[in-house]
Amino acid sequence: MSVSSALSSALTGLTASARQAEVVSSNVANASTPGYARRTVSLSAQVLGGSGQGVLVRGVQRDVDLYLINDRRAAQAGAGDRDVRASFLKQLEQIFGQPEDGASLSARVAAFDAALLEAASRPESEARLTTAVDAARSLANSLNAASDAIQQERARTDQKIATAVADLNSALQQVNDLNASIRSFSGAGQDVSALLDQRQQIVDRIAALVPLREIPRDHDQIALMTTGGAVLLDGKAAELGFAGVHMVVPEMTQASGGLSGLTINGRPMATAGETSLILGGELAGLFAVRDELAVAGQARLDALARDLVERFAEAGLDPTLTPGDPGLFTDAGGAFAAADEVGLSSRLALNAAVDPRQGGLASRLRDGLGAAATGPSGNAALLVALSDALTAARPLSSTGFAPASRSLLGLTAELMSSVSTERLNADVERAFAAARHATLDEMEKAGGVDTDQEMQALLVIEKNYAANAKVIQTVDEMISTLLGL
Amino acid sequence: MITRVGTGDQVLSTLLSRSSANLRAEVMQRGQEVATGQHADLAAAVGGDFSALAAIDHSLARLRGYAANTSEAGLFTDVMQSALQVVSDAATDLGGNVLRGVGLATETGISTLATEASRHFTTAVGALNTRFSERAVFSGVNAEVAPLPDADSILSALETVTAGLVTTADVKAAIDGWFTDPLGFGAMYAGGAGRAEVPIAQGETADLSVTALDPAIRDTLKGIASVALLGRGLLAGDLTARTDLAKSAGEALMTAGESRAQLMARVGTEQARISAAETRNTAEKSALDIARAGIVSADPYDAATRLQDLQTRLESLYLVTARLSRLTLTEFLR
Repeated sequence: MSVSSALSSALTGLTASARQAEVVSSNVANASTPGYARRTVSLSAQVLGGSGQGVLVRGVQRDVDLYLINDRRAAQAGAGDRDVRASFLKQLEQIFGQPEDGASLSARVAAFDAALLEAASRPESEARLTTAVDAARSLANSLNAASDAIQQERARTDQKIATAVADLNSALQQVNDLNASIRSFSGAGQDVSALLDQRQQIVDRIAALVPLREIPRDHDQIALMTTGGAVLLDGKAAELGFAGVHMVVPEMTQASGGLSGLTINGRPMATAGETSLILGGELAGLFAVRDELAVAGQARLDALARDLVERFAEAGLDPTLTPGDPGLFTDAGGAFAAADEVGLSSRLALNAAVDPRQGGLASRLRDGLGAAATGPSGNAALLVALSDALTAARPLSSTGFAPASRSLLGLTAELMSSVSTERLNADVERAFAAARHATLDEMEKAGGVDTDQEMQALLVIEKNYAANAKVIQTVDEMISTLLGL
Repeated sequence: MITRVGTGDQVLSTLLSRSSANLRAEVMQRGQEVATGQHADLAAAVGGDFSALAAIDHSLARLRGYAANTSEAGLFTDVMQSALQVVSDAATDLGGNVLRGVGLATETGISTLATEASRHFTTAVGALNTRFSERAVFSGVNAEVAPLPDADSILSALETVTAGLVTTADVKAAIDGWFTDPLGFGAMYAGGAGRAEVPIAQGETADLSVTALDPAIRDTLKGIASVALLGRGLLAGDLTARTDLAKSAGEALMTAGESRAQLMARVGTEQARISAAETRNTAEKSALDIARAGIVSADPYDAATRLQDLQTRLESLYLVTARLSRLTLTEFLR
């Protein structure tokens, strides 16, 4: 022990305090930076020649809990998945409308029925017939519009998948690059905390898209794997492949080859079902919207369109038609064939024979679609029969709904109810997933920077600095005393 | 092991901002319910099952259709009934005069009677050709044309058929034959088959199928026309035969009175059914309106109470936010 060693110990104390103050200032400055992990300076007693010689700054530690982060990321992915599904179902509910608003499918059906009834009361009135034809056209148009809206949603979802896959690829590449930088800097003994923060932020972005597990490797490296087991990064970044399209029609599916699936390093990867390794994140949610939810919505709409077409094409309803002729509603102008059910709602059209806008006559609604000449003006028989056909309970030809006999309105109400029920369920799931994510997020943030704590630490550091300085001053006085002897 | 005593600053700010966002979203929803009086999320209010609401809306739409139908069918049958009344009055008036024997003994008396009959015939045919809002009521489905030509054309046709006949029996047979012949009176009739039944309420229809071809109307016209033909030189010079024809026509008119009454009763029954259906539809509409309001309406008292509660909670939250944000060590280290 010597006075000079006391001086050097005090000096290490000053250095350590300065380093601590530096870390505190960095913590306070980043108090609200997302992804920033609180730093602490780890200190230990310096030992020289078997005895203590001041304090040693061992390094700066990032205060992170990888298990908690992994859990939070899984919850985040789940919340993203539920959010995508619930948002789509909400959209679908709005497309079909609710009985409340006049533009909803059920309101259109009811309006058409009422118009037929009123026309039956005064079949000679051109105005009433035109109103009924207009109501029929509106009904067909609203089915077309609903189908188009669903397909537009699918096309938008397809674009979103393309963006997500591109993001995923670039993020994986960035993580890979950061891994390399971290390896070289930490090998050179430099502080890599900032790089680690940056890497964590990027991994968080990936974790929102696919549920992820981060696996630590030696030398501060990480590997990324989906919870399903697909390796996204382990020394080398995986390359995901997806080809977006610009327009989607009901007939296009992943199975038909019209829409792209997902590949990892060129190998196809299932996007749904048990074999899929990417389930549970926003990406899987988007695939579910494009390939399942929207397709199911379209199938129900097509079932409704088919029921509408078949009701009015029934043999014997309109004596002026021969079997095989299209009825009041047509499949793009022609007769409907059972094999063409997919996308029928987008092609549904009012028979040109009754539509004045397509060169037809509204009076054919009264006289029969195939009537060559204007019939007796007071003949309401066909109008009454049409109205009856609309309200009659009829077994469903399609498989989109549970088999039962329904009126057209009953079927429409069921279509709207089924979507609303799904939306409500999805809302509940979304709320649950969001709450879980919020809780874990809160737990993670609880481990973040607490400025009060930092300020308190700063007080201690200030005190330590002053104490060390005092030691130096005292030692100085001691040396002066020695020199002055 | 590091023991943490602090709690990250972001927890508090996240908590506060999330709470206030939730509260404000709820305030908006309740505010909308108070303002519109309806559930903000209708699907949630009906548990995702729209079948009842859609059925009510459909029934209401149909009832609006039925309302138009009942009022039109009501007016239609009213017009029909008053036309039949005119025809019936003419027949009763003429038949009574003939049977009372007024002026049957003299040629001038018969001429006067024939003139009266001719006038009544014109009135009756005019009544049958009544149009209501551009629809000839007795034309059946051919509503755009009047069912019968003018009275003079019918009488001229009969004149041709009876020309040259000299006995009462022959004349009667010829007139009878013409009225039942599809090429006689049937050809004069320009209308079509009877109208289809018009729906006036759920599962109920009104029968508006009476046309000018109805046997009661035909027999009545026949009686009046027989007398009217006497004024056109039928059986000229044979006073007895003319008297006989007038008398038998008068009797026929009286006999047809019963079927006329039945016809009017038939139309009257339809009038009664239509008006009953109208009343029932109105009652059903109010019942459905009430049921519908029960489904879509939010309880305004409930919504207002919740809004009040939310206001208090939101204000407390703002207060807490303000206090907590001042409560940092930094504030005191000065």
